[in-house]
Amino acid sequence: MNNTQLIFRNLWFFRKSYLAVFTGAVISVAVLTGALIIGDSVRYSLQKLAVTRLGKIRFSMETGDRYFRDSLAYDLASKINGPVVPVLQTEGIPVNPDNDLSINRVQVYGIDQRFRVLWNNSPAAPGEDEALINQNVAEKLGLGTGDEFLLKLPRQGMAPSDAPFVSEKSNSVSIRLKARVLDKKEWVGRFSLKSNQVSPYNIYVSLPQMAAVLSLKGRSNLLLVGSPQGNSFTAGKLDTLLQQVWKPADAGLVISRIANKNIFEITSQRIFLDDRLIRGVATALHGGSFLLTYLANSLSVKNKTTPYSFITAADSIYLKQNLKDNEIIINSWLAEDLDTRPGDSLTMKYFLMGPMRRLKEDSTSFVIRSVISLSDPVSDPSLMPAFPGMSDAGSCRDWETGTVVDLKRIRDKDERYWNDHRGTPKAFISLEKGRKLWANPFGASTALRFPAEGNDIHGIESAFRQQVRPEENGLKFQSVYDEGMSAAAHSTDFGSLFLSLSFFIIISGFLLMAMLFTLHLSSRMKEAALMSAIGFHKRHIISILLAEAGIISMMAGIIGAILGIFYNQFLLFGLTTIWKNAVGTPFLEWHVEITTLIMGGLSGIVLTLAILLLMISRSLKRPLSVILRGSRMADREKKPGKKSVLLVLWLFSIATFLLLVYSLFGRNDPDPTLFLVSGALMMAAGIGWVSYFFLHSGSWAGFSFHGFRALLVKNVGYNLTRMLGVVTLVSLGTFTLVITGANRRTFYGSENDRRSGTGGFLFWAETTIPVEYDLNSQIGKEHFSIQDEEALKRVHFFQMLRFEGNDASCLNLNQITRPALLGVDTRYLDSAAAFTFVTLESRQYKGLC
Amino acid sequence: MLAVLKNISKYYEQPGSGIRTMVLEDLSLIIEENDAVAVVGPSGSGKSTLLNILGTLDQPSSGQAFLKGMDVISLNSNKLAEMRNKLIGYVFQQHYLLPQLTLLENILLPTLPGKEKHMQKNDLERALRLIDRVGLTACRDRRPTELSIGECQRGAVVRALINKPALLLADEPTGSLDAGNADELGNLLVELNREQHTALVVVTHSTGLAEKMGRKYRLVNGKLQPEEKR
Repeated sequence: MNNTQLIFRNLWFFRKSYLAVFTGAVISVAVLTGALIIGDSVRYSLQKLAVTRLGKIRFSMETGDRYFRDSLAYDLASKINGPVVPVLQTEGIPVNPDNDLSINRVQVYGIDQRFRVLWNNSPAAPGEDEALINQNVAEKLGLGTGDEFLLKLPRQGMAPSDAPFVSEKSNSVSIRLKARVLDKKEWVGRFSLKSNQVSPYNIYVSLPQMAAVLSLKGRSNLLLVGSPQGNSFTAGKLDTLLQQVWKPADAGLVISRIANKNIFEITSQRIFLDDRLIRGVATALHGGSFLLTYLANSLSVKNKTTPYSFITAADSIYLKQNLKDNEIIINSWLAEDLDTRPGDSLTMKYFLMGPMRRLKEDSTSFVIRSVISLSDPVSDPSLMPAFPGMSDAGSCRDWETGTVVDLKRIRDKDERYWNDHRGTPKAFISLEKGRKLWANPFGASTALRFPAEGNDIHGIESAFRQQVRPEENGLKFQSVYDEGMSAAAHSTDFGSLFLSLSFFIIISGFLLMAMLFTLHLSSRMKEAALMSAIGFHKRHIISILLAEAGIISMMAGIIGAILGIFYNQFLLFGLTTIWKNAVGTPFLEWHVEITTLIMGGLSGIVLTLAILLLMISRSLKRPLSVILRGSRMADREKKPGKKSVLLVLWLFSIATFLLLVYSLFGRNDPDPTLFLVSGALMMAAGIGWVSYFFLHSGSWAGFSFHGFRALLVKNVGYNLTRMLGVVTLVSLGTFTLVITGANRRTFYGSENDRRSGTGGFLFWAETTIPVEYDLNSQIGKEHFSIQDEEALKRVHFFQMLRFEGNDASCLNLNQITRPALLGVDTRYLDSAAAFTFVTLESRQYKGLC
Repeated sequence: MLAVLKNISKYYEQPGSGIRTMVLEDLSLIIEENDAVAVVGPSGSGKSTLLNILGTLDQPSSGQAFLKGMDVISLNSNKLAEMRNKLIGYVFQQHYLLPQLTLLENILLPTLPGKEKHMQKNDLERALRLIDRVGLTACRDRRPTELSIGECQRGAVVRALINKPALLLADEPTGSLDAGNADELGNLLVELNREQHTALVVVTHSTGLAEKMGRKYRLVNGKLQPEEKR
């Protein structure tokens, strides 16, 4: 016989005991491994979802309300030798007229046949009056292929809808479309640039039709780039190539030669020239003059007033004279209308537009410097910017200005001036003064003019490319594929999460195993003592027991890891069914990395072995002679001092009490970590008190146990370790249930608390069509016809502006880098003490518009 | 001199109270090779403690103990284990045969620590000889649960002798046997003492067994008193 034979003899003979130990270990290892595999499965599923939602797309350029030329895609494609696809994207509201069901904030994409190259299995692009809708939209609206529905879109146009004098009337447009429902296997239905596992609501419309409806013919605001040839392509390289091919038109700039004048003019389809874009171009093109043309509500001298006139602020080069800040040049028509002459004082009234179209009328006085004729070279109808709703109006009464226009004030002579001279400015002031009065976040000029001599269109475009970077106009590529993969790879660590959630189950499993193994060891102590008596080193005895434990640990590690796969599948089943809301997607797939499986198994083996080794060492501490005598006195001889145990127990109990008091009364909001720590301390103290009670039950002064109760206490406390194991096991189970329930965060009971996640607001709504008015103002209420709603009389609306980004809430499993931004009125939040912020930055963010 | 106990004292101290209970007091004993010594005395007199100190399973509170000239008190636990393995054989009141092993395997168990492979053949031959000597040949492949208590105790004696110990210590070896088996085992121990040239120290309540030994001591109040054999 040798040691190996002895070990296997032992294993076989004590198979029942070892089976129990093995079961405890297997439970722990299976739960541990299963929890780790969940992390693999979630990461794998998210990466697969990223591939699904992006198809062959590797880079994207989203420009929001800045629209570039469709043909930019062709220009760029020639540089990268790969597919570049222009898309017009916006949000929309589809409505099924048959059942009045609608969905808010659906992604609407204007696409053509080029979009198909980005997908492996893509249907034909939608034709005129046709829309491809994905399963989500179809199911929610109850639509099938061939059904008609209405699609409401925000009316866009090149000009920002909240810029001054841009008409906001009828800011939405509806089109009737015939649905073609995308098959689930057609991944194009899951297309989304957002790193989110939640399936999107997508509608695809014909690009030309959508562009026509939104007055954006030949324009796009999303550029998608498929896999370019060569692996070294980066978003930065694409940005560099974009710099080489982009044109002023991609920034909404229009370069034109003024008819009959030897002058070039640069204007913006966004009305105001963005300073960041145009300053460099102006420097490169010598002799340029900035112009700022604005609409005044009235010009008055003494008791005479001329309504609604355009005023141009210009520099001395354009005006060929220097104007002081308080000086104004008027044309002969105005001089005659106001019956005025140089040296008279003129008062100008005009609107200033604040956030949410809050209009404020302001006024400034000037001294009339001179009067010029309408034929003067500076007097030019083209100085009036192409305000939508104004420049194309047949008469003044047709103006749609986006401001309050009192049509009654418009006289016949004003109509005649409009008919004869259109928006020719009636007055000129200095550029500096004009900018002081009317500069706004969209820009500080409406045109840049410079002499045609020495310049041509190509030269201007070249200067533009040299001086302006596309990203300054919001044209910047993102590595959406890499970002998606990275977001999935660094997603919420479900492995750690489930490991934490399963922590107490794992501990309980190991505790059960330790208890059973101790029981087993106690039955073999005489065997160990005998072996020691006949000459086995203690190390030798330990190594035999450890070898037996090692074999059990290895088997538990391997079988536990395999069972972990089944436990994982059970968890996945839960996550895709009853806990579906926690992950927001039913598309979680089982996936296991072999390294995770090995790690789970090895961790289990090491932990099991370490615990069993500890048990063996503890058991073999008793003197052999005592074991052979069969006495338990040695155990009792080593019981710790009563005073030191009491001191520790009181310290634990006092610490628990103080932590509970602090967490309940010392803080404004409960801290889960404090609760967890105080709970764990309370449990430890409780177990300690139980241990103390039974350890000293025979000598407790003041307690008298007789008869049955005395026997009960003595019996229960006879094997203290075993009894405490049972108590700890049940305590851990109870603790797990209680702590999970106590930390379940809900809004119930705190929904009206202003510091809570609701901010104390009762209702919350997101709109697809921007609400451009303050709903608390009279004009806002009138605009939405809610001024007579009795129920809304005492309601305060708190409006926010959302800048689209990834969902940064815990519902998104991906790690996101570009969260959505919310523009808020901080004064209102402060006064209402709404929400609780972790940190507050006082930085001023400029240039966000 | 095979074993020497010199001025050995042993007391147990109750934790906390500091009260000491003296078990052995200034006790001395010399065991010569081939000796057969009996120690008798009432229960709780310290007979087993004396045997445990002699067998290096326990340490005295004071005094000196030598085995084959070596000061056993100064040896570490590993050296003591080696010494027990090579020089001492134990027979307890209960046989302590491992239930998972056959009788032969139990007997060979003491050969496992620190043995070279080539020596195992000799061990097996010796084990078989000894088994035959005590009349257990028919039982050698049976497990302890399949043997009578007397057979088990004889097996335990063989296990104690497998490594040719110089000193055989028996703690109430007949305590769990009926009269017939006890007598038989007593005779066997004495015979083996002579045949194997192994010194024998027996702690017993049995007058009959004690009478079979060469010397007889009574342990009273922690001291050994030589007793005349009848």
